[in-house]
Amino acid sequence: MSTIDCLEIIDKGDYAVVEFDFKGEKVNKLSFPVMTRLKEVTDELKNSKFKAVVVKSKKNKIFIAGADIEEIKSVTEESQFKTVLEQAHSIFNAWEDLPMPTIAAIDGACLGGGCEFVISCDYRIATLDKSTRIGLPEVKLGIIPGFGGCIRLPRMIGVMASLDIILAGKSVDGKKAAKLGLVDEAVPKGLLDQRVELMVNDIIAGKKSKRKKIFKAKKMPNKILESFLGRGIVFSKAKKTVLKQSKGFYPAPLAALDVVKKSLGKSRGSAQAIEMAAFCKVAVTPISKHLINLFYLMEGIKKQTGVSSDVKPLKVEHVGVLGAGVMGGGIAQLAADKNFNVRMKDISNDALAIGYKQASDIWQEKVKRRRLSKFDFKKKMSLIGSSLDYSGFPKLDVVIEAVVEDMKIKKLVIADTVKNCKEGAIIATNTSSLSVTEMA
Amino acid sequence: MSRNVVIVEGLRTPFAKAGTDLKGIHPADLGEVALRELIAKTNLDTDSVDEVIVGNTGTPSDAVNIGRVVALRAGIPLKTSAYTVHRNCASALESITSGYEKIKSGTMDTVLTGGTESMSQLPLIYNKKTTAWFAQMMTKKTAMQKIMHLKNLSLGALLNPRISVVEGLTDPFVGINMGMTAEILAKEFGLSREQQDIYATMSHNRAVAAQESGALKDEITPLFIPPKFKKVVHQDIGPRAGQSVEKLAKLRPYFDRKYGSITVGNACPLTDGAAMMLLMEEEKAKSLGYKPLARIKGYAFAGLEPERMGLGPVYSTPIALKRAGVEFKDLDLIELNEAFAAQVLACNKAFASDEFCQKKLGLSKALGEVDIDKLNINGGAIAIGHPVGATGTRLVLTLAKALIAQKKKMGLATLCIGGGQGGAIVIENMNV
Repeated sequence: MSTIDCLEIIDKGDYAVVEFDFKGEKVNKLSFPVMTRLKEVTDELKNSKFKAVVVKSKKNKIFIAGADIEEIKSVTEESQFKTVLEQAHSIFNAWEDLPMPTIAAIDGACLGGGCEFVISCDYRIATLDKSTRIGLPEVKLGIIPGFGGCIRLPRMIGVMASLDIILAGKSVDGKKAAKLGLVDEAVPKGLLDQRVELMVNDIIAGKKSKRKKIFKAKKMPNKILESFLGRGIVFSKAKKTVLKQSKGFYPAPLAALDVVKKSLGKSRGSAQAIEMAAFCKVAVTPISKHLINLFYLMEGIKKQTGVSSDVKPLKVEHVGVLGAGVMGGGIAQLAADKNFNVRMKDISNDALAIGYKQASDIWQEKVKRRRLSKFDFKKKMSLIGSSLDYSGFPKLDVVIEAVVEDMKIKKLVIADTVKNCKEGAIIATNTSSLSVTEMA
Repeated sequence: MSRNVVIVEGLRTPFAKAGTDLKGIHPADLGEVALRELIAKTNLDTDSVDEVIVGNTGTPSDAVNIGRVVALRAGIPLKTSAYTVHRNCASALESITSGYEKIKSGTMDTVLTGGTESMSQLPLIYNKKTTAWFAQMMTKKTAMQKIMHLKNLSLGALLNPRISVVEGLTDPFVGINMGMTAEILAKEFGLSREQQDIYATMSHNRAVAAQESGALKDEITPLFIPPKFKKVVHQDIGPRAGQSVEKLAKLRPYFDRKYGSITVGNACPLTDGAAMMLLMEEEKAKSLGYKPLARIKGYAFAGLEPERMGLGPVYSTPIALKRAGVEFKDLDLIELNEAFAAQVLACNKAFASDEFCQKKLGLSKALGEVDIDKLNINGGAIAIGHPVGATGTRLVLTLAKALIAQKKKMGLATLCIGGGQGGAIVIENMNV
């Protein structure tokens, strides 16, 4: 009996709900103790009378965030990894082989090991919530999916789509996941429980059963590319792309590509052996350790505020930018993107025009890539106003100076600006090399 | 306790002839710039705004309550109500007078008013036959049915859309367009082609002089033209330096080829532009440290036969003066919208005619002679343009600023209104 409080089986009569809530931790992750507990749960379910099993998370915005990177960070022996992976495969395989159909109800982050877990379930329903992301980011840490992702994913959504996710360490939202066939349905968050219940009822009524989802390409030319004949083209193109982007410095994506290629068509056991061998190789490399380190550093920075914890943030609504142009325009764009009201000031309308153009261009890139709607673009542009005088400056909470890199000019501009600002406004400088103290 | 309504400040975009520099800008965006910059210029606490009223006649289908769109985009809080008004050419004046009433009555203290128009963007509309074809097409279910329906499309009907700007400028009651109403006045008041061209030239000369002297600088905020933002428009595009009677004489009459005298040169052009104005209760404005431009003394709208709509100013002015407690002779400056040179000249004659004022207005005698040196001193719509939904505010704004610059006291802004109305407002300079 494990002592980890993370998974609970709730008896709902004909079916069971497995609730994942890793007590004491911010996120649900598949650490070694959790996996041990998962084995227990699987054994219990195997011998039960339940006709279906639903898995859901109790953590807000998190389904399963992945494996425990702490456990990977310090391991340097290939053999150590091998043991862990063998056990992980046996646990996931046991889950996959449960006599009753399993449904994953995915709301929030479902990444890495979490994604690998849900693809070993029979059915998946995801929410359309912004926090719901499903994917395999392992290569970003210099490793490859090691819990069967390289094997199960291509069989489920096809080689092209899975390489797209695995090789770039991508994740997709609920809508895209449904489109890819990675999940069966993507529903608004408020309807998740309802839709899951409908699916459970279908299973109990015998309309749905245990299944192995196999990818079938729908249109040409995909039908050819996904077939035995066309695959070679896909693999060779993928390899070229990886080499171009990584310049040969990162072994993980190439290793993952190799695994997918070699394991297609093999039995579950053989395929997993191939994946394991490749994982062990890349996971002990210094590159992977460095990438993991980098990950921790970046996470650490996110938490640092630079001030003591009892300092309260100032309410900032209005930001000014002195000096439009490419730099000022970029600063204005960033501020407006975060919903601040922005005033740009410069000495000529032409300079202000450059500022607007810069801001507009940055957003238009996003609009082109469908990351920003036309309406939101208009809203954000509308947050930026400008003038040749200090109109609007008395309202500003923060003013960022981005004029010419010349101390004399900066001093003049700042002195002039201060006269037009309100008491308590913060003046900041965007200088790259001049002394801030002197400016003050 | 009597409340006074004051004009705290106003700001407008440059105006440009339709089809030129501003043609790609949605009227909501024009209004947004004018309003946002007005808020910045006055350091207005947007939380204190009670209402936003915007005049517009084109009613773009993707911004049907353009007042609300302009308000939200310019940074007015979600909680603040906003609406759109339409009184043809005096829509923006209507926004001011509506705001005036809300403040005067004690219902509100702070109202943003103004108007916007993009005549470039007035759409072409499928005619009845083509619209019916589309409606039928939507009922066809199968691909085959849809293909078969294609042959029912009348090419003739498709190629004859309704031109909304033309329809908008045609009076629906009597079925004649604005230019033709000016022709009627030109003939009835005996206004020669040459007189009109002289007036038109003066409008351009005065407008150009105002641009060169910077007289209009304070009331205009520049427009940065999307999507490339390569161009900046910082002053009105219309006024022509070196405009002359000789140049204008070359144009052919537009509305009456045979006997007409109205040309595109002595009429105002179709125009794009927006203007916004901040109205407040007087004591509140002063307590906030504002130095208002002018106090609104009174206004009036009056109706007349649509075919002589150009005389609207003459009908509405005496009522406005009476409400304001001001005599015609006390007026120091007048802004009379220049829809057509003929129409302005006809008004001037009517103002000074005992017979007209007695017979048509029921007054005891003529209102008075219009001193040409007090009329449209910085040029008028013939040079600057007339974006229908915005002009009313431009006239009041430019009048208020001119009174301050000239150190004069009393001003009248008045417009003729398509459809057969006139609007007039009397303001008093508070800085003299």
